[in-house]
Amino acid sequence: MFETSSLFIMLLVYHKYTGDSSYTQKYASLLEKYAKYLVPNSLYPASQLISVDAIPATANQTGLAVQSVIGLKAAAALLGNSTYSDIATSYAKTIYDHGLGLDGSDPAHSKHFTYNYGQNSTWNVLFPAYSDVLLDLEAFPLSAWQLQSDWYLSQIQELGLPFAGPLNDTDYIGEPLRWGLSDWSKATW
Amino acid sequence: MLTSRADIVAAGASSEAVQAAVINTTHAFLTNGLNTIPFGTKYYVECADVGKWIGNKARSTVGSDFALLALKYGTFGNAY
Repeated sequence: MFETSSLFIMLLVYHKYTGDSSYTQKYASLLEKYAKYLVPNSLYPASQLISVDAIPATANQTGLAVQSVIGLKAAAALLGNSTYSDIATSYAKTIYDHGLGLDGSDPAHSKHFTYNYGQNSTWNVLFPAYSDVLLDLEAFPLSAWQLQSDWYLSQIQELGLPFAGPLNDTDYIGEPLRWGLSDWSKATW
Repeated sequence: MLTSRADIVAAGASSEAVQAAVINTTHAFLTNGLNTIPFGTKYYVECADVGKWIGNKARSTVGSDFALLALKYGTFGNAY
């Protein structure tokens, strides 16, 4: 899932900075298949790893659903197919506006996105947000990223942002997660 | 150099503040004198081993340092 959405994001970034759509045209039918794969699997992702493989696989990772929504938006732009954009928008509403991926019932009652749906004390560095902002996809409203940014400011330590929290949650790696990944932290928004 | 929570929070609009804070805290890690490896990205940010490197050496994802510049300037052609 993570790789599929990343492919769409990468292709769109390439197109944005070069104007070259030859790869998209050449592989259009394959890309359609990949987009069709994302549609049914994005909103409630099955248990799998994301790029941060130091943390074992779990189902319903909010960040993976967020990344998939952004990937669908990118797919819609690349393929000129608004169906994927409409689906992405409806998933984003469920995740953010209706609070599926938040620690409260809706944005007004929330402080952050969760790591897994329904695990309200959990959070992590939501690096997918960068792609949404870089590409002006507006998969999620800027207020969603502002909410998360405010949370990061409350969590950042003197030497950096922990990748996930809270500190006393040992479900991630079997002990308190005390480290950060500076490369992913720089993709925050 | 931001070294206290108050400095980190006071920087302004939250997303710009986070970006500045991440760059400054990364710099604090790189210059803390505790590690002898080329830019590693995974390290302890709290508790007893704070500031000690864990893994990754000169990882290609250090290119994300340019991510914030890309948001502002796009390609090199635009920056100059």
